[in-house]
Amino acid sequence: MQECCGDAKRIKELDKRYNLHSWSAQGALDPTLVVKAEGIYFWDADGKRYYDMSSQLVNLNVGHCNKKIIEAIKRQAEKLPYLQPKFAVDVVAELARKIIEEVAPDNMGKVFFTLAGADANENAIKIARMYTGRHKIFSRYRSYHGATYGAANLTGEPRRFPSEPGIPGFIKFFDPYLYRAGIDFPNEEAASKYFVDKFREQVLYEGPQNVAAVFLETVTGSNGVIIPPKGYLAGIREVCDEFGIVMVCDEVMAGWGRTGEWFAVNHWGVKPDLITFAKGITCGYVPLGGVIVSKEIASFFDNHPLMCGLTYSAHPLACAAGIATIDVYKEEGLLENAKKMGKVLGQELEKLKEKHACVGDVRYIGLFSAIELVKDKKTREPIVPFGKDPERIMPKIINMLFEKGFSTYSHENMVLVNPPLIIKENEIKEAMKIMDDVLSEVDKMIQ
Amino acid sequence: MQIKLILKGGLHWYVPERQEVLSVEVNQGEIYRDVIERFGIPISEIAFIQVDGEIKELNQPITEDVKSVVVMAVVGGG
Repeated sequence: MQECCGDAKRIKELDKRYNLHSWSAQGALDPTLVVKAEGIYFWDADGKRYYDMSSQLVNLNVGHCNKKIIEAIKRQAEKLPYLQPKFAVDVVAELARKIIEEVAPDNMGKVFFTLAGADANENAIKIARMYTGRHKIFSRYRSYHGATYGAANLTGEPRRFPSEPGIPGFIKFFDPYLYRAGIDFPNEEAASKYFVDKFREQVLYEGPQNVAAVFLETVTGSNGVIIPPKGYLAGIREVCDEFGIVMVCDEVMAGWGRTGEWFAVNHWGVKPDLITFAKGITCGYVPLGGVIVSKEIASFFDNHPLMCGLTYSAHPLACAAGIATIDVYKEEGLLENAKKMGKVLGQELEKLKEKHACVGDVRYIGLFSAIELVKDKKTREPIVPFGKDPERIMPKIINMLFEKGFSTYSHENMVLVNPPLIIKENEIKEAMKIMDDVLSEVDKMIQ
Repeated sequence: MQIKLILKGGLHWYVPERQEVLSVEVNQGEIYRDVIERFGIPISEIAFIQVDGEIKELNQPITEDVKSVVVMAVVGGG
């Protein structure tokens, strides 16, 4: 670590002078210099250790510095680091086979590889439009689908605004966000029926003959791990079938074992027409994303040109990493661990909800979870108003966690807790003790 | 005898009034699974149960000293 850190001051100066960081006013930034990472931890230049409780950006499912994946990348770099996408390459063909034959729902036929989640969604928009010959695209308000222009227009939350005025034909609908629905539903099925009926009504108003696709994060990610109520996804599927609309499940965050299944949609037994993915396919070791296409849509492109292309589509280094990553998930039983450790995490979250005045709700499925902070449990008033945080309360909370060695991020009034899928029970308990301490401070803040 | 049944996660959706805490009449020797199934809660949605703070199997009989049973859900919130 010492050799890395000798020049820590200079690295920070260079970073500050030349590097633009995401989603931030640059002037006040003081990013931590990270010099080492392993498993669920990383270390700063002073040797301080942090629990990586967000798996970076909910992508580092296998943890830091997995040797099998690193070796696969090294081998491919020496053998054949790049070819343009028109050639057949062993690792590309094998990764596509693995995804279709071993991982994806059985209605899926082919994969179009991209570089990340945003361009996976960009290409899914185009595929749905080419396949249906229609132009309108539905997505939900509490959603994030990426920050490139088309993906940002799919996105419902405020990170959409810099890309507006938006692309014509992009329509938003409401999420089945039961904690804030404001309706006293008798059961989950009734809630699903309400939201699906409203979606169907909106489709009718927009002209079903104009609607190409509906995009849904299967389990909403950064906007608060909103888990679809029972019957919701099946209801959306029915509306899509009724009107010939392409159902697209964005599994960029929820996929690859995060919820304890290869894809979150498997929990509800629903088969979408397209699945977009990224993040956990290579866990960030090299960038890769893609669109998994149903057999029916794949066969459409047998005699219609697929007007999608990227210089780095199906990059061999990334595909080699993808193969190794799928093997790691299987060999290390990470889906099973996500399920098992998800129960431990769920218990810890429920304890926090019971104990702390500031915790309005906790939501969890596998190792995908969020803590929703409120000023008042009864009124459910969020600790910061939607789209605003003038007193910078949420960054303060995230900094308090970070100071104590718990690294994660927040969005609106939610704190995300999404550790690597390799985490152990004692590690969850140790890390959540830090969360408990910080929430005690937040309780004082809202008094 | 009466025990307190505490439903976590989304399990309260199965109870008619959606209470998270219920007082339930049980017979000594009855197993936890049967008590939980009385409310139509699918066993597949249960992560584990904690009886007075201790994790127990669903097929274990309820003893007379039991006061509260926390039923943890696999999936929480919505």
